This record gives sequence, structure tokens and C-alpha cells, in this order.
Amino acid sequence: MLLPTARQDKLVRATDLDALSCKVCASTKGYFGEKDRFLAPLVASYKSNLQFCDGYTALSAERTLRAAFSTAKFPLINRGTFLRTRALDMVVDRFVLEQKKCQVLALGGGSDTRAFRVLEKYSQVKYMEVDFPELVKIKKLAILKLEILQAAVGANEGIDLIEVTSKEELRDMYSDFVTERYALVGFDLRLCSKGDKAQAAAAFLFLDPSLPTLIISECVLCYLSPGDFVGVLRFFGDFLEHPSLILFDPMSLGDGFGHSMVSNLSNRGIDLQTFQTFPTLESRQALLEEQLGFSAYLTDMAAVGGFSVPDLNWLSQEEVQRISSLEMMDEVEEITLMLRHYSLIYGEKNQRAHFPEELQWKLQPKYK
Amino acid sequence: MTVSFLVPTLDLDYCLEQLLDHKPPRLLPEDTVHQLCHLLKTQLLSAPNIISLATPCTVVGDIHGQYHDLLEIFRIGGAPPTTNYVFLGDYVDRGYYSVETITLLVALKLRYPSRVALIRGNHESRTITTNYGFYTEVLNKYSGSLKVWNYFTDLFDYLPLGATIDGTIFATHGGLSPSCQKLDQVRVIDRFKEIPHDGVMADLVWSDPDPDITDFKLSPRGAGYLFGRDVMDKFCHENDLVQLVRAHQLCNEGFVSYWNGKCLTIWSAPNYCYRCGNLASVLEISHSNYALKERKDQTFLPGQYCNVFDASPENTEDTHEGRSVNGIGGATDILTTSLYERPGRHVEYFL
Repeated sequence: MLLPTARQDKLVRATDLDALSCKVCASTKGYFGEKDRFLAPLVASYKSNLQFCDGYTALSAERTLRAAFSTAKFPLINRGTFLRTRALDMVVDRFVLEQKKCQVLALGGGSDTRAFRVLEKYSQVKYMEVDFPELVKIKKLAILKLEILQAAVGANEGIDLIEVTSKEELRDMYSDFVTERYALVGFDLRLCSKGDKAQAAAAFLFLDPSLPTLIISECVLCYLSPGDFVGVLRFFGDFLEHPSLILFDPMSLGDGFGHSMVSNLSNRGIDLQTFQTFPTLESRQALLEEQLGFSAYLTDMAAVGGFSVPDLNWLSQEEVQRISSLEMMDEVEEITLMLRHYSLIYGEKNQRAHFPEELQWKLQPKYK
Repeated sequence: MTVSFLVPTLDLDYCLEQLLDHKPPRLLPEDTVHQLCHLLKTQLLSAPNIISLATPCTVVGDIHGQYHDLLEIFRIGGAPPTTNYVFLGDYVDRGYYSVETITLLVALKLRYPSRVALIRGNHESRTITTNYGFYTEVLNKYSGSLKVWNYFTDLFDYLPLGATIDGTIFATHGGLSPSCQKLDQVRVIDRFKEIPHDGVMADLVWSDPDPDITDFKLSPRGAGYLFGRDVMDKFCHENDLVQLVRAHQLCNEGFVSYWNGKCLTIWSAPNYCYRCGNLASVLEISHSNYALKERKDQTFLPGQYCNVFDASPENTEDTHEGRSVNGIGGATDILTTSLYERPGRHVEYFL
């Protein structure tokens, strides 16, 4: 049995599998246009290796995987998964296109496939992902197994395949994987906030602090304590000369939905510590601008998806039509309510990108 | 279609006891469900598309498989037969107890036929229930057999489309149709089929009122229409009605009143999907005797009380991870549960 803190970490890691299952379902239904071909190898790696992870047995891993991938998700979940992926992709694309040379750092990248898609598309970007060592290993094992992933990240020819057959082997396996343009590093983000700053900086040697860097946190920082949330952002704000952020996190808005979410997730053992501490877009803007010195552009996913104020919609008419035709959504009230509780925030420091002006935001920076 | 009935014949009180007196409620066997549906279909064959009801009665909106909240409704509003009920549809999908909910309502309708009225909602449909939970729930609870889903969805084809209360209040699930100006047009429809994609029958279960418009507009739901103030006024005038009571739309406070109480939405699923944190309500109509002079600023008409309530505390017992719902014949040995264990029910979020 796991100790309480270890159990908490295990549950946070499990959210990666949840997110992966949502993306697989949305991809299968055609939300991303062409199916994302990088998803299958990651699913396969989970299926082989989850049983060797901390806190799992062969039987419990099988049950968890079956629960994750067997039932189809409701249309509103698929729609929301599409929107979160698409919105972040849009920001990353526009950021990269504006720069001659730049970097992307994905915090808690887990089983996300954005790294492969971005590296395949753009040559001027270097991409780094950090996550818990266990999740990094699952991804690394997937990369080592499949050529399309190796090609995407620019791996050299003839790297050795690793097959893990026991918990010990997984534990002892070296987690990191680095190529010229891609780094996958096992690292506990909380060390940026709590530990030795120099030691933390050593984990990010792959990055050139002088280059414009976009930090992605897609439902990652929300699992940290308020102190660590601020600490991690402050660390990157100091360590990088031109940091940009794109953050996707839930917020409580102080209403019935927010209360239900807190109690439902705590029944699952998941504690979103900043959910109520920064309950609104305004409070998050104040945090980023006043406490951390970033200029912040903020919106929520209901606006991005065109479910609340029509002018703040990020999708084109054609796209809306395309995804509406995939699955019928029998009502709009529930998805609007749910998506209003997910914030999407772009922040920048020592950087004046043009692309935010071309997107629609609920709140503009107070300080530029 | 002939159904052979075993002797002894169906005992409705025993069925009700199985559902009401056990925690968790006991599912009825497939054959029993078959008999119940067959009996009710026979009764409903002779029911008109718009049934005539009288006050006092209590109007209930969407329930969506939230069985424990249905029991809560009976606690706060009184149970049949002491209270007359008209249910406006959407009994299944989304909640975790669609099977128990619809089974209980069918049994109550058969047991107290003149005290319980069941109207059809947009979720009483084969296509919708396939995607929104009822189909999957039947598959899980009846060990891979879909017979019960077939029995119920066949029964849904027989449900009436609306009701008048004291001849002056019209109740339906969704709302009005641009193809329908008079109630008599609804009365002549052949309703005994799957809900079509368009037409009067579709609009009645899919439409929504919109306080910002006056006429009809296409609905963002992809079926039915949005209807405005002038349409509402004209419909009431043409049909000698004072009010439309409907459901279909999630209401944070449990109800929404438009146009000085002329159009009421009653929503009866609190904390919808165990996630939305909303209140719910039922509308208790004691009489409809009043001078028809319109009062400004009224939310409800005289003689109407909106009973607002919160989610039943029993719900929190059932969304815990790993607590699964009783199956028929309860396979409780370790081997079967580890091979066939249903995934623990989680309320879904983006994580």
C-alpha cells in the first residue's frame, strides 16, 4: 500500500491516463480531422507498462486500462477535449511562427502528443517535456519502440529498444531521452519551487535561457499547492529571459458547479489546491501580473468554443460546422457551464508577441 | 406480437417493493419488465396524444436517471396516489439509475393509472438513449442483454406528447412548433413511432423558449426551434390557454419563468449529472381559478407553488469510486467480479 503523499502523486499521474483516454476517444470520432497517429503507440506503452508502475499490480493495471479505454465518452467531453487541444495548438503554432528560433517547454507533458506534432511541423523550434519519472519512462519506452516517434523527435538511427518486464526494471531504467531538438526529462516540478534552485536549473540545461520560450501547462499546475504554483512560475520567470506561458486550469467561480467539482474530485482523492484559491479569471490575472510580473491575456473555454459570448469564439464557422456534424450535442447548457470553469491564460514577460492581439480574450493585460 | 403470461400474473405491489424497499433498489427480471411494458403499451394505445388532466396535480420535469432524487421528489411532494403527478419526460440517460427510474415510473403508472401521467421527452428515443447512457446502463445491469432497452424504447413510442391541465395549461416536454398553431394539429398526429428528425412531434420535445426574440429561430441543439414572446402569446390565444409548462432545459435555480409566468420551465434533476451543482423543482398546481387579468411581475400563476429542492444526500453514497450498483442475481464471487467488474463510476471532468 502506498503512503498518503505517494498515493496523492499516483492519482495525479493517473490523470494523464484520463487525459489520454479522452484524446483517444475524440481522435477516433474524428474531432482532430485526421486521426492522431502518435496516440496509438502511447496507448500501447501504457498497456504494456502500467503494471510495472508504483502502486499497480497486473490485475489492477488491467482494470484501470479497461475502465479508461472501454467506454466511449459523452459528446460534451469529446467536444471539450477537442477544444482544449485545439486552443493550445493554436497558441503554440502562432507563437512558433512568429519566432526565428524558439523553445517550447511542456510541463507535465505525460502522454501528450503535441511534441511530436510540433517537431514534425516546424524546424525552428526545440521542444522539452518534463513529468514524473514514471510517466516519462512510459513515453520513452513508446519512442524507443516505434520509428514514427523516433523520426518525429529526430532520434539517431539504431537506438536500442528497451523492453521492461518487471517493476525493478522500470524503477532502475534511466528516464531521460535527449536528441538535438527534443528532450524528455523525468523531474518533479515541485523542486523548482521548494528545492535548490541551482539543482533545478540543472534539469533544464537543454534549454537556452536567452531564446523565447513558451511554457505549456495543460491541467498540470492545478495539482500543485498555491505556494508551488507561484514558486514554479516564479522560477521560470527568473530562469528564462523571455518566458511566455500558456496555462489551462480549472477554476471554481464560487458556484454550485465549483462546489460539486471539489467534492467529486476529493472523493476520487484528487485535490485541486488552486481551484478555489484563484477562483476567477480576475484573481488569476492579479496573480500573474501583480505577483509574478507577466502581462496576461485571459479567457475561458466556453468563450473559446463559442458557447457564451459569440465574439470571443476562436473557431471558424467551418470548424464549428465540422465538429457539430460529428456528434449531436443534445443540449448546450451543461457544456457551457462546465467550460466556463476552465481558464485559458497566455502570459509573457520581456516579450511582446503579436499573435495574442489576433485572438479573442475576455481580459486584456493591465500592464504591457 | 403475443406474450405468454405465466401464472401467477404480475404483482405490481411486489415490483414496487423490490424498487422502493431495498438499498440499492433491486432490478426487476427481464420477463417482468417485458410484462410491465406490454401492459402499459396496451393501456396507452387508447390514450390521446394530448391527455386531459385536472388540478390538483404536481408537474415534474427532467429526471435523467437520478433515482434517489426521484424518491426525494416523492418525499417533498407526496407519493402517489396521495399526490397526482404529471411527468414531462427525460426519465433516462446521464444519471446512473435510468433503469430503476423508468421501471419505478412504469410500475407506478400501472398501479395508480389515474394518479400518474407520463409524457414523452426527447430522451425517450432509441437514437438518443444509445449515446447518452441508458443503452450502456442496460447492457451493464442486465449482463450484456439488451432486451430491457428494447422493451422500454418500444414503450416510449406509445407515450403521449402533451397534457392539458384544467383545459387551460398546456404541458409538454420541449415547446412550440412553427408547424403547429392549434392543439388539434397535435391530436391528429400518429405518435406511435420513433421521434422524427423534424416536424411537429420533434419540435414538441426539442424546442426552447427564448426571451430575447419574438418569433421562431433555429435551435442550437440541432433539432426543434427557439420560440419567442409573440409566438407564445398567439399560441395561448388560439388555444384558450393561460400558460405553457415545460422542462428540457437545465435551470440553476430549478425553474425559469418567462413572460410573467406564461412560460415556465421546471427542471427536476438537482446537481445534474452529479456535477452541475444546480437546484431542482416541481410545480404544485392546486387550482386554476383566477381572473385572467394579467398581473405584472408574476413568476407563477395564482394557485401554483414551485417547490425547490436540493440533491438527495443519498447520491453521495453512490458516486464513490468502486461502489458498484447491484446486478440481477448478484455475481459476488471474486473471479466473476475481477473478470467482469464494471468500471467504477466517475463524474467526468477535464483533468
